[in-house]
Amino acid sequence: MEWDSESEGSNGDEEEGFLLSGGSGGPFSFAVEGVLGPASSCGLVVSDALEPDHPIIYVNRGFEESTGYRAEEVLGRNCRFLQCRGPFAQRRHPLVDATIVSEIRRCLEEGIEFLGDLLNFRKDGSPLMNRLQLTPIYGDDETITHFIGIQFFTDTNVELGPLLSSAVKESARPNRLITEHVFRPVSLGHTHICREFCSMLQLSDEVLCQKIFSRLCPRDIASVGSVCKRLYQLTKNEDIWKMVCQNAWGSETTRALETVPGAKRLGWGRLARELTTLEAAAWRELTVGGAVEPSRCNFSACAVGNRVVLFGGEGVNMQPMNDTFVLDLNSSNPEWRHVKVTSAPPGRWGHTLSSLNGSSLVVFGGCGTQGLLNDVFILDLDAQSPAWREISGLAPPMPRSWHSSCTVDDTKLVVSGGCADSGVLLSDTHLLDVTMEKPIWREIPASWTPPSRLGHSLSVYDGRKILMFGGLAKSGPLRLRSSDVFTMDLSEDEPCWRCITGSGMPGAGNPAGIGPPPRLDHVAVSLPGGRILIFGGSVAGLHSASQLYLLDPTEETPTWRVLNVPGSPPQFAWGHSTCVVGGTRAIVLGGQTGEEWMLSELHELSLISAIDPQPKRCCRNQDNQQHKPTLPEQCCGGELGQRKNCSLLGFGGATPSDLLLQIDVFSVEETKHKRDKQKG
Amino acid sequence: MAKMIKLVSGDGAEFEVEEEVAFQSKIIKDIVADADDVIPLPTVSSKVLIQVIEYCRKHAAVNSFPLSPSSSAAAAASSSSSISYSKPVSDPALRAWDNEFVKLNNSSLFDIVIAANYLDIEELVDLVLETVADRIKGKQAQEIRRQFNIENDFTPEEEEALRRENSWAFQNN
Repeated sequence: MEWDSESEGSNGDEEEGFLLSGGSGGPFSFAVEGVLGPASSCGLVVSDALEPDHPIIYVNRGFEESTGYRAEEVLGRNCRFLQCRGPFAQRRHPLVDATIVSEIRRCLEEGIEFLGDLLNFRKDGSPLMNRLQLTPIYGDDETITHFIGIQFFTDTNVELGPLLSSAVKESARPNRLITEHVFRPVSLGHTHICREFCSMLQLSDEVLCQKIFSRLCPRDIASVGSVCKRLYQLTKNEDIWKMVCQNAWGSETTRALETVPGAKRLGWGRLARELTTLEAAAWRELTVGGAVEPSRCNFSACAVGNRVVLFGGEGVNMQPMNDTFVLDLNSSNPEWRHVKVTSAPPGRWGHTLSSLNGSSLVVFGGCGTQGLLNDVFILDLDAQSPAWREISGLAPPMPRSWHSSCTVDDTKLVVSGGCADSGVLLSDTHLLDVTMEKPIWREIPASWTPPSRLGHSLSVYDGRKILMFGGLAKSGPLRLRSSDVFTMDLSEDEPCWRCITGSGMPGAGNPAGIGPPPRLDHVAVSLPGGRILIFGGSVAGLHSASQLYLLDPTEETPTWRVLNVPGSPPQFAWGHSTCVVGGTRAIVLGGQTGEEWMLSELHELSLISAIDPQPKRCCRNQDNQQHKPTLPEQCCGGELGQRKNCSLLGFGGATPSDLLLQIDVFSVEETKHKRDKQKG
Repeated sequence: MAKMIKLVSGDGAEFEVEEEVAFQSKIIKDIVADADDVIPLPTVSSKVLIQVIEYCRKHAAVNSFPLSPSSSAAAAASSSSSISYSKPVSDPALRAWDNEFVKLNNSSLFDIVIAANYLDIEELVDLVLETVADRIKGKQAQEIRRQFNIENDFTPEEEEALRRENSWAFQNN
């Protein structure tokens, strides 16, 4: 059969246009170039309908470019090879829709036109969606002599299939391996025509989540979720957020967060956001029952899950106490309860109480009846009959009080600085692994140590790094309040102290920005993600102790930031103690100027929006009217475009651009409102 | 003489590699167990196969010596001191080589990860995807779109709502 290559209505490109004279129907022409659009994305195939199995007799350049097969490779073959993945495959790929193939066969047999979408494969095995139009061409005697196939090829968003799928691991011949791969073609009719296709979206959901998202921090996930619809859907998944939080903050922190009552309702996505931006941070007042009697100051408090444990302290006659109290914040009516222990350490004040893994606490040092101490006692709060048992560690540090301590890896007690018997200030750092059979104290050798001090804080961040802040430090012959920050990485072979930022001389510029005024006996809260929150303490000058300061020691150049939160903070003075509960709130005990030693009125700095069911816990006015919500009950996860009444607006009408550094007009009004209420 | 395996790329080019290099791919290892020394890989182009072989060659040399001198020294040091903690041992020279290896554009990277997935070379898959994650870190949505050629399929209203919802992502904390 021959045809003229003269084309009608096309722009004269002979390869792309030709005329077929069909019998009585008159000439039959294609203006291929104009109809089909850019040649590179669509193909044209002509097959001989009179030869057995319809061999290909012509393919255009668009076909060659789209499929990767050259004309000489395919002439004489039936088109169905495109349904096999790659030139070596022997049979049609299982994900090619068999019903479509049957339909094509039917149309060919009946000599009618076919139009449909079919999965094809390039020569290199990559998938192609083929919008195929098959048209019969009639000869002189009204028999079909040729079929013309017009193909619009598009790249598809089919996925690679799960990594390390067990199917692929079977020992198999290569061509069988190909068919083991699982493709998930998108719904037919997807018109994602884009020459420079996006490779990343070709990956499966599983791969994207487990291999890529898992390596990102919460902020990055939020960015990723804004990229396109598919990624938005993926990042709405709570499990992904939980995994990301776990990777960013550590599993211990996320486990602790799971026990926080409000956390589940917030969801991990919201939790990640709030603990990153601290937009929902607020002061609240807490009224609890029971009493810590006899009253005392200079005690130590620490949290086990959602229970606050208090030990020791200095009684009214300056006598060291040794009783233990617990306050269960999970209960509907939290109240202080005296813990009956079978054995108690010697009484003391100026000691430290830190949490270990499980439900254990460890006490170290302090000032007892006989002088300063350097003993170690551990209590398992959840034991059958809780008892303080002494840990005799070899080579203990010098006895001391007003030192600082923290727990690394939930098992290693780190102690630093403090005041020794002779009144000398100390600057050494010691570590004790309490899980060892025979625990041995080790002093951490450092060629240089920060100036010795007492009343400073030691916080753990980013795994095994510790941060020391403030305290009353030796400065020549003087002792001055400090606002220095020092860090040490305990995972290094030879840990050493590094100075992050310092007070410098008055008036000297601080590269870290306006930092907290120098202080001792303050509170340092380790936030998930590595930041440290500082407030309270005995502050030099006339500065307010309730101002919150934030520092991220993991930054390139750590800079202090001020955090403004609504609510009324406690009146800080001395003798108070603070503990962090569940990683989301700091409970301040005591803190008034000598009164309030019963500890029934507590202040709480809550970092996340908590849905408090107890009316007496929240700041409502007398007739329980809802003024601007400090507790954003209406805060909802929200679908796109449906956010309303979220905490962002409830806390001072923050605009996104100044979440943390805002002047919080709303909170000032609210605080004033509360104070007026209290007076009235 | 080391046993050689012949790999044939999708466009018909043949590559002879040492057995231990080819065995970085678990798939190839399984196939060869079936006594097949010529392995057609129709879905892997020559260009990509060359790069994958280069990776396998480098890592085969390292894997044959599980305790390289640097790693054993670190292991010894961490056990004797109770203060410093043992961390995952990784040969810094190999790490540097890997970092150079993945300095490719995105489409090349994805070609490699597709091939590495097909050939079941877990470390290479992880390496590439780790690199992809690094290219996402710290970027805002528009930059991520540009980097990976992703089409923005949100309506302007949706985008505005998203910007408000996720503004915390790009706020300086």
